[in-house]
Amino acid sequence: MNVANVYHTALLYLQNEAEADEITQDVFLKVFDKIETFHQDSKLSTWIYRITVNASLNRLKKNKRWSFVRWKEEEDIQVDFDHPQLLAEKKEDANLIFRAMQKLPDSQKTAFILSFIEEMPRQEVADVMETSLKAVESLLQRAKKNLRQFINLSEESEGIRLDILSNKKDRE
Amino acid sequence: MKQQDKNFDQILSSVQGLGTVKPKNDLFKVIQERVQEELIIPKIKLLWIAAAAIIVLMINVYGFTNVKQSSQSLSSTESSTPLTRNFNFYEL
Repeated sequence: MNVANVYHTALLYLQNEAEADEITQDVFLKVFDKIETFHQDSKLSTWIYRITVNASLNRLKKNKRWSFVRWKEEEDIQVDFDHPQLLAEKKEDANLIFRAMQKLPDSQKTAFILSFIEEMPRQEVADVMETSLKAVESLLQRAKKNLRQFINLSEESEGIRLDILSNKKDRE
Repeated sequence: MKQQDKNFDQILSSVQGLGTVKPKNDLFKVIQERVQEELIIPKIKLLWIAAAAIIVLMINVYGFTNVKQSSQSLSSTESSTPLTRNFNFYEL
C-alpha cells in the first residue's frame, strides 16, 4: 500500500487527476491524524482503502451538489476520462465503461472498482466495504448488469440521434 | 443477443486489471509538508489553550478576592437593624 495505490483508487472514482491528487493528500493526513484509532483487527491497507473510498464518495457527492446548481453547463461539457494506462485501441470501450460507472450506486461502484478494475481479492473488498463476501459478489453482478443496461441505452440513444440527424439531412 | 453479450464482455475487459498510475512526483513531498504543518498547528493550539486557561484563572482569582472583600465589609455593617425580624408578614 503506497501513495500510488491511493491515488489510483481516487482517480477511478473521480476521473480527474487534480481531484485525485487532493484526495490522496487528504487521505494521508487523515491516516496521520487518526492512526491511534486504527484497530489491529484489520489490515492497515484495508483501513487506508476504506478511508480512500469514503473520501472519494464524499467528494463525488459534493461535486453532484454543485453540478445541480450548474447542471446545464455540466451537460454541455462532458469530458471523457483518459486513464493513463489505457492502450489506444481500448480507449473508446473504456470510456463507455467510465461514463456508465458514474451512474452506478455507491456500493456497486465500489465493488466494481476494487474487485474488477483493481483486481483486489474479494475478501479484502468485503473487509474494505465492511460487508460479507457474498454481498460483494452480488454487488459486482448487479454492477455489471447495470453497466450493460446503461451502455446499451446510451448506444441506442446515440443511434436514434444519428437517425434523426440523417433524416434531417435527407430532407434538406 | 449473443453478439451483444460478446460486445459487452469485450467492452468490460478494456478496464479489467488496469495497472496503478503514478501520481505527480511532488505529491509525496506535498503530503510530507502538510503532515509537518499538522505537527506545528497543535503547538500553536496548545499555546492558545494555555493563554485562555491563564485568563480564566486570573478572572477567578479577581472574582474570589472581590467576594472576600465584600463579605468583610458586610460583616462590619451587620449591627444595623434588619428589615424583617421574624418573617411573619401577616402579623399586625
